[in-house]
Amino acid sequence: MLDRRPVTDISTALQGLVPGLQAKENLDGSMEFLIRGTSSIYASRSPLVVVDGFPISGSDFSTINPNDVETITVLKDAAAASIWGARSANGVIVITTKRPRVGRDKMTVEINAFTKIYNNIDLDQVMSQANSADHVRYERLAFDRQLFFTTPYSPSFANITLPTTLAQEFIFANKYNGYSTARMNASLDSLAQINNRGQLKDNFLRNGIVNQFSINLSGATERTKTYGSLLYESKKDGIIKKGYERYLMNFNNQFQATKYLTLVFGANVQFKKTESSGPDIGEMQNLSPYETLLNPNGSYSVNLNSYNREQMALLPLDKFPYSDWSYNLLREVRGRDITNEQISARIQAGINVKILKGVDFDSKLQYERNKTDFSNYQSDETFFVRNIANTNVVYNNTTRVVGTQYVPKGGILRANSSNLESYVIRNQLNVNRTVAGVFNVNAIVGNELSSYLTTTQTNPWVYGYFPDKNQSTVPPFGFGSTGNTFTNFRGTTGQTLSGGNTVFGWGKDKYVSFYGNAAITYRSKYTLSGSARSDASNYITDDPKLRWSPLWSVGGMWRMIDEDFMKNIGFVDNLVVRLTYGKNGNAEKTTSTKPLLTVGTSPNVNTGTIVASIADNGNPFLRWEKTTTTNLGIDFSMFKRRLFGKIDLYNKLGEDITGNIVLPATTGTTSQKFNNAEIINRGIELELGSDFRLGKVQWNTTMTYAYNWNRVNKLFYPSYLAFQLVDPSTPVEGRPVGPLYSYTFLGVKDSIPYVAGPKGVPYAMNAVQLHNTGLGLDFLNYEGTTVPPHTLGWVNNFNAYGFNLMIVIVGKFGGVYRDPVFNFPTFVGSAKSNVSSFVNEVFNGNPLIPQFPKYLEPQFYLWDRYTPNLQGLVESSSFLECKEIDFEYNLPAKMIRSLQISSLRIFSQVRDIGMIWHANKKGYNPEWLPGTQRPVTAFTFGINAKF
Amino acid sequence: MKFFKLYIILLAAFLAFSACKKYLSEEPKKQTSIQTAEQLEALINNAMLYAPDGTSNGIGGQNGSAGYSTDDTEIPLDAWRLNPNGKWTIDNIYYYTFKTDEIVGLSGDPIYAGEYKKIFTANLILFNIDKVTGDESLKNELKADAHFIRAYAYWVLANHFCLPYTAAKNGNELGMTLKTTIDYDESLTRSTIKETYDFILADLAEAMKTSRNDVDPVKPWRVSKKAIEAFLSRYYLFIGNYDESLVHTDNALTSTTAALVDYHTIVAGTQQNYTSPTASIINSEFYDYTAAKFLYWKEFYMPRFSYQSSQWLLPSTALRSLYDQANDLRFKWLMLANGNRRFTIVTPMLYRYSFFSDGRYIPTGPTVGEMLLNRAEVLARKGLVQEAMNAINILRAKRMNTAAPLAATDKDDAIKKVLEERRRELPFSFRWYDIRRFSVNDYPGDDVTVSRTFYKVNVGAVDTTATEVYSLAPGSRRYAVPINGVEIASAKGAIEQNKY
Repeated sequence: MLDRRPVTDISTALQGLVPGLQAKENLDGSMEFLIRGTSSIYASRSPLVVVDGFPISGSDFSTINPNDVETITVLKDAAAASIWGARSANGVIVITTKRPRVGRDKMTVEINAFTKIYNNIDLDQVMSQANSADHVRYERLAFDRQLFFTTPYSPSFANITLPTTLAQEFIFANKYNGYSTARMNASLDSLAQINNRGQLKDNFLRNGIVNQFSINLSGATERTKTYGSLLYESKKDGIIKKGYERYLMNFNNQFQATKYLTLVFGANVQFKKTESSGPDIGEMQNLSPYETLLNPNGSYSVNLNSYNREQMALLPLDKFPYSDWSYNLLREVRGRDITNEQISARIQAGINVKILKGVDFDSKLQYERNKTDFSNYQSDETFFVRNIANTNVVYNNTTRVVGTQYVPKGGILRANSSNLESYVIRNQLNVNRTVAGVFNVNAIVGNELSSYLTTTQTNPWVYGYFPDKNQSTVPPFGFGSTGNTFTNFRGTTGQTLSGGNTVFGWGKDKYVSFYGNAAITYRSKYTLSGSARSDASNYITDDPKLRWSPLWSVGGMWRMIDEDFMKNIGFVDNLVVRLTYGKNGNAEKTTSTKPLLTVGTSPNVNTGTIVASIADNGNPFLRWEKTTTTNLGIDFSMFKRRLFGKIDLYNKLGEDITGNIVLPATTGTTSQKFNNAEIINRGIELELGSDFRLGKVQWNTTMTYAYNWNRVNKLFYPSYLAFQLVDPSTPVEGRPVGPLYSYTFLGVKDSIPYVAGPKGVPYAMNAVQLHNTGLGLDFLNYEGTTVPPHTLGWVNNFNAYGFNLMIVIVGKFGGVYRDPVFNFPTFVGSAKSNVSSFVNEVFNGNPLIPQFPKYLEPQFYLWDRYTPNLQGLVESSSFLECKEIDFEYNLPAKMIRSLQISSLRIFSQVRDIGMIWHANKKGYNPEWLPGTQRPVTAFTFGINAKF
Repeated sequence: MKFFKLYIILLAAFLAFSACKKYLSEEPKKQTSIQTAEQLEALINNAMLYAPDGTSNGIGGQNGSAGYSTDDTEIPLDAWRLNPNGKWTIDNIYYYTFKTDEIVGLSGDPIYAGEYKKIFTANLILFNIDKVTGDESLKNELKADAHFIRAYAYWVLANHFCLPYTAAKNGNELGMTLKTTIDYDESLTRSTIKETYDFILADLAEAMKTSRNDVDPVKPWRVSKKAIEAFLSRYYLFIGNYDESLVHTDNALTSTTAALVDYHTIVAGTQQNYTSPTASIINSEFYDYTAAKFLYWKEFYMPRFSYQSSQWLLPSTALRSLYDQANDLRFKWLMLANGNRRFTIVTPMLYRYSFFSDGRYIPTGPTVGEMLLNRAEVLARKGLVQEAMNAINILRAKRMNTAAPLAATDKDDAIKKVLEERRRELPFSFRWYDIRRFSVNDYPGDDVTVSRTFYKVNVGAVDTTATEVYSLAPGSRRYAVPINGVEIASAKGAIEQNKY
């Protein structure tokens, strides 16, 4: 099924196919997986990814050519996972790449190419900003009622850093500069008519396009098997100046030197160049909805940023390095060039020696190098550069004289690089023998040694940089240092220029493992297996013994189908029962048994010395997080595969899980991570399928369903304060991971909103005591879990006369989420304030949320502690989504035979089609709430040919 | 042959096993675990960890008692009524009106959490100092630094959360929890005040073993004998042991590094001009100081500051009237006329007290000025009127535009004049501490009742329809700031709240 899904990242193709594999989609369509619920709170929750026998760093699928993948196996139970060691508590995804099959003594070539075109990004989904009319309406209301948290702007040089918005400029002009009320009203009304999204769309958006071309060759002789592939892929994002190009080469050779000796060699090289100069959604969102990019005459229009225009106009700008100190997002984007180039190489070599009959020894080495160079060039067209030059001058606002200029004119180049070097060495002894004719013994024992070194280097900034002339200028007064600090244009002393130092980063993770497993099969019906493994890493501890993890498992399998009594039950094609039990481990590596420091990498500007601070106060209870898993599974097939599937039941008990404990400040910290929590995951996984064939018409369907129940136990928290409890990332004893709590809203009285406190007593949102110090369990409502416990995947495949149609439907059920809500902006009057689109719910008088504060309400800024957490905003996050439809046509063999082609397939796909059903009233996709950039519908067309 | 191969493999596996202890001892990050005295020195040199009070743990708060609980501060009724958003947070108002339950209910206490974090850091250094590699003399210096940091932190805590101490009367009242290790399971039970003060003294005796005699002008935050002498001067003055105080004062005053700064040399900093109506705030150079400057303030024996995140300290009429406003350079540079405009308040006109960094950092560490005032006060209390006046006149010479020596007629007049000078020199920093000690010393004539009329304060709101008189009188148990509720709750009863 994998090869029917044209993807840029192999993880995408797994979605909906594996029960118990919870997928959270990223913007680019790649997936973050969670296998069988959360088994850790602070340690990594992502499964281990193993490619051709080697775990790859991170869970990053991006260096794998999706066209090279032969099979993917998802290991979920203890027995399967324990041989892969640390992090296997989160499950293991094992990928094997294509190998030529022996016997086919000829070369095969496969070519695959596709183009994927994305719909335009929907700005109304991505941006949660109010429309201009609502924006202006709220700004006026905030001024009328004086809803200011921080001191609003008043005309003074010191307030030059209070930029405000275009609308607020008119209001301030009316207040301070005699701009008449009638003119102000007219100006505000005209702003309310402007909508900048048309311009944003025209100037920044485009249809995203992915082109992928892949060719692979494989050939086999008696003694060698060779496989090679080359992939080229380019992507243009839906936003201008964003995208990538990559080349990925993969080579694999297996050579049988003698009867006893086999050599394996593999190499994988990727080159990828990514551009990210385009505007971020955040940058677009920083524009007020009435701020356009271009004036009708084509010139750049005003975008407010950082400075107040009224005060800036009073400066003698012609004396500053750049007389133009204005900001415009389009000009910014055009003036910058942000790229990174990544080269990664992975080399694998192995030797296999047959020692005895059925006994062989494997030695493998993997070496991986990764180098990424980041380059961020901003020309002096950008506000970024002009602002740095203009800020770092000596200026006297009384005499209006500009003195020393610390920054040379010209662009700024910031460059840094990161390197990864890793090696893994594994030695393994394999035994596979049949004893006494009826026992099959299969055992391995081995060890593994690995080291991952990451280094980063941030280079000093290059000032006065002109790439076209290949010139740069060192700042004439240096970058500044302790004892030689600068004064900026506002008179603030103690300044230095950014980027004076080279900053180094260094991290090295090392692991050692010993492992072994054995399985004995009797008459191929009964299998008893066991495994043991111990891993250690170089994390810091007083007691080296704590480093070693105890991982082991036992299991049994009964092939019932092979029993004599099954022979009479003719409709059963297959029946296997599996039972496993074992322990896996996970390491949380941010703490240590003793306190840790962060020591500065260059002298501190205040003291002129290297300074240190405490990074962690110490976790004396540090140990491996242990997860014990019991798994019972049945594989079956009936009526000649009219009905087939798997049922798995599991129980996962996590112990010594790291939890964050609130402590009295007297101990030196108000919270600390300790290994003392327990997490239980229980669940059922079901895979049901059916194959029907009627002549040349074939229908097969597979439905996967998983239910995961989880609960956090034994978490020592002295008190759950309300502010902690409303945050779903706070684990709560006796609740699932990701619990959602809400406040009961009691409505508004005298313009002050109230929530229910202990015993239902009303508490005003004006005070933060209830939120900060109230024991939340007494008065907050438990609403459910934010991680949906039920997941569903349904794949339908129709095949007839060379045509194939596949429909993938996914769903998640049983979780809850919060609708986003209007949060009263606190910086109106003193900053470039943003008003969210949810303000219209307040204008419309939604009774579930607070209304606007009254005139001069000083405490409204505290409302946002309560407002987003009100009960009325909690909704079910259940949904059913038609994820993709794949359609393909295989040309009949006789038609293509003349072209020397063995198979030719043309295919197309529509992905991210939309929700079929959702439980929430607002029509949101709960995984992509308004204000997030979500994947948009994409159409793919491609061709695949095999020679 | 085959068995030979197998043997090699097993041998290799065995060797790998024994070597991996060493293989795994390479740490995943550099300089993370504490191995060298140099690392601990870097921790001590992170001066801004210790210099300000009230900034820790992201609570980002401020010293509410020093800023708002004394008679140095006055929020005129019309100032509040006309500008309820005038940047006085309700937290400050709780301190201004001497609230108890409301302060317990705040989200945290930056002074409490901040000082205990310093104590943890000091304990961490003391725990590791004999285990790390490094020069013995450096280790001895660091030990002294850690003992001093811990002593100073406990003194600050005791002067906020305990009643003012007199050995004779209330040594058995609640002191602070004395944390001396980095262990989480160390008892959290509060000691008595006497135990707390004895502990501070013992720490200072340890710190005195430093080999550094005088303040290091390059690293003024490193402890020196002179800095400890200066702090002992304060310690003894506060518990009414005037003879000891005087000895240490005079030792401190022999410093050749710490010196008075002549305020004639202070120049103007960034000026703020406002329109409609026009107004200017003439700031001193202190306005523009960052830590790179104010840590090195010449008058310090040890840089320490009261942190005021609100930057909004309003000198009371009584405080302002103590100054010779035309002649006193402290008034000129630190009491900013039109200070209200800084917070967009047009009426009424208010003065604003602003020291370093636009009013965020008010010096509280021992200074030469404090030493002269301590000396003058002790001498005055002993009835040595002229000597007392001589001491403060040294200070005044550097503070007044034209020389204006003070004279006193008798002991009471001398005490009055010295304490007035002290208030002029150290407003919003020492007033809270001083009012407390005045209430328990042997001289009732200096007792202060802080009293003010302000609006009715409810939880989270000020009711401008009614006023109340709030006062804090000698003997009040509110001299001890209540311990935050989160602390009491998370300690599960191990930490006892002050009794009111």
